[in-house]
Amino acid sequence: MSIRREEIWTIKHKPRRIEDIIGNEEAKKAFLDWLNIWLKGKVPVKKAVLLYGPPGIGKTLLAETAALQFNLELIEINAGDIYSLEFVKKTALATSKETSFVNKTKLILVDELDSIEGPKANYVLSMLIDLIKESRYPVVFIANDGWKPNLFQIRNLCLMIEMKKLSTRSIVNYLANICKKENLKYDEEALKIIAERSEGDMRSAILDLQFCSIYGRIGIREVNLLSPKDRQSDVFNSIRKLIYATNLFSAKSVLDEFPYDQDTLLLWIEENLFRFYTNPKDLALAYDKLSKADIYRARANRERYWRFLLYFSDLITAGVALSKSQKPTYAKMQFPQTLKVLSGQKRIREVRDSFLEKISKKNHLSKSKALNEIFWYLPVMFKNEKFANEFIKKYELSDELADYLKNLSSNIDLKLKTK
Amino acid sequence: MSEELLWIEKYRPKRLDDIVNQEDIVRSLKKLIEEKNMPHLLFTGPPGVGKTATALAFVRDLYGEEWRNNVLELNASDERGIDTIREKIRERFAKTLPLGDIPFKIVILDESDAMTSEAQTALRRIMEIYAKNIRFILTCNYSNRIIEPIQSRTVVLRFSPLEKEHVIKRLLFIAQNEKVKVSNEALEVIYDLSGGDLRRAINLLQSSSLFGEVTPEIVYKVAGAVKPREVRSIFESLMKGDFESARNSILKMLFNDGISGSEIIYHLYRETYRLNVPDECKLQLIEILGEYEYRILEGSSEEIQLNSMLARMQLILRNYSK
Repeated sequence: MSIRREEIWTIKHKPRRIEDIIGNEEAKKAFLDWLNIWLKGKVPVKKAVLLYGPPGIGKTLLAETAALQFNLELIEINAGDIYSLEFVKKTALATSKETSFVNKTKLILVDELDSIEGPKANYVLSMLIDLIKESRYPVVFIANDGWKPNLFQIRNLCLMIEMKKLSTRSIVNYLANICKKENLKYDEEALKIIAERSEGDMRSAILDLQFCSIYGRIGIREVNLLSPKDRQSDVFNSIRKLIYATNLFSAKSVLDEFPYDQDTLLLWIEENLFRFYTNPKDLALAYDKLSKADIYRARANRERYWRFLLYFSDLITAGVALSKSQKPTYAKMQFPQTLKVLSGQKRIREVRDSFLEKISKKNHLSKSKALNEIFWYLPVMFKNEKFANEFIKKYELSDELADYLKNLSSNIDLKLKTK
Repeated sequence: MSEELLWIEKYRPKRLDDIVNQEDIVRSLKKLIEEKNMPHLLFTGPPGVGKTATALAFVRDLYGEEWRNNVLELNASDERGIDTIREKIRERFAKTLPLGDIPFKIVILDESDAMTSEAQTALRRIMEIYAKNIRFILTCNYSNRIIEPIQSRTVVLRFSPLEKEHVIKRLLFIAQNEKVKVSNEALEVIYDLSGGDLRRAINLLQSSSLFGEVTPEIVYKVAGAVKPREVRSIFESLMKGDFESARNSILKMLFNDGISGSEIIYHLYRETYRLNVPDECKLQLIEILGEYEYRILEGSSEEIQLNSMLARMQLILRNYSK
């Protein structure tokens, strides 16, 4: 049982070609027709497209895959990240205007267009309009709500392409494929439950599938452990939102958006915090909040004083978000390692303890001394197979314990030739 | 009985005459055996110098074959509290009369400095109640952690750290007996790495011998591979600012190796002294370790607490390694 860094399956099992993207055939065709005009060196009437539709159906994926397939340089701009004029000028206009010295066409991608809100919204939107007018490259906008009132000017300049929810059938097929690639046993009915719950959202279905995979198989029981969703956004988006949040309110709103319980939220934050907070000071401060949150949680459980959980929720959300002094780095999100290993851990300690009991009596040592003074030498000694076998026999080690020790032993590399 | 596999078991002294390097103590214990009488004893001294071994050799010499019936062995850090110790003494031991011609039984209580002073006060009462037919041999690393009333009721025997020549002589004896080739340099290295702790030294010798001739190189490699001594790499990662590796090591120790959070902290604590950083940095690290050991006790998730601790330590170490 070793820790494997598990890649998020939405990335691991990403389609490589446009044909492999499930569903939305009409939208895909419209998009390709538009892009083909650019690829032939011409400029279409509408220089930009607006791909819109519900989350998790492959909007961003379509643009990314197209860039990959047609060898375009992808310039990604997150609309939520546009805070200053300089930013847009430098990242977007400058890149799209400059005559490329690598002879490679670019594809400009502006994600989360409908997240542009607040006092600066008009300013940012007008900059995006300038971007469309001045760009020599195809521009792709992405939004959940393409008909949001404040987007009307942009809509006029865009080819509108709607993408729809995916059918349960096609999601089930895709999930089954992933299961086969992952060598995971599955129950067709269970996949159907995941697909139905996702309401046409492939990304959330894949994430749920990966989540259930920690139990080793996808059955009805495993699937039902997940809470039925009323999801506003998926795990990724909510964590990302939390990490980038700059005020109390938006940080705390993640509590409503995160689709699983708060203990799971804490695991996700802990797994990803250091990837985004690269300033050691920010990291230490944010971690301190997690540590204190954990203490409040334990106290709440111990004293049955549930009010303490208020502080737990605040500390893991606002506490973490407001601990930063600089903008977090862009990083890839990871699935919590701890979720996968928690179950095995307790068992190992039990097995080991029974052995320590025996050996500590024999050697007149306390158990903790037996652990440090004897037990931890065994994995090294077990590198000698003859000794290992004799020891297992002599001390009547259970298979479980013997395997555990052998596994520890195989993880040691002494870098010497054994005789 | 078939031959012991672990050398620390095989070469444990059986009689007082086998005890290394504690001549004065052995001489006085032999005197007690002659007189067939003894006061309560308190053995104090660093780990691995033979306190428990001496106590066991003593009772063997005193009672002969009958020793198991007359001796109760307890370890203070394993027992759930003074109440269970009291129960065990009362129920299973104090009720029957001693066998043979020695008019008392013996309780060996190891690691007695692990007890709180309240527990020690209770122990003192127990010692008094059964004073007529039970003698105690207490062992501890630090006699100043034993309350004065107990110290005043016992004869305190101080075990000196093993001298280098004795350790090496013993190792050489074992090596010859086991037909293991070992160089003098390797023996020196084993002594240095074990810090005078004979048990550790013997373990190191046996582990190294499993890979052929024992050379300094092999000893170093083996010692480095024995967990959880790999904690050193955690500090090294943090100094480099590689939080991810440090965190991975912690998760591995917790989940793959099944080491508890407070044990990990204890090993980090011991390693702190060996770090190549200014003393004030060490002190700051120790403060953090203490704070987080406390938080682990208060909290519910070891990995959250330990990783949070790493983030704090990284901050300190980065300041000093610049």
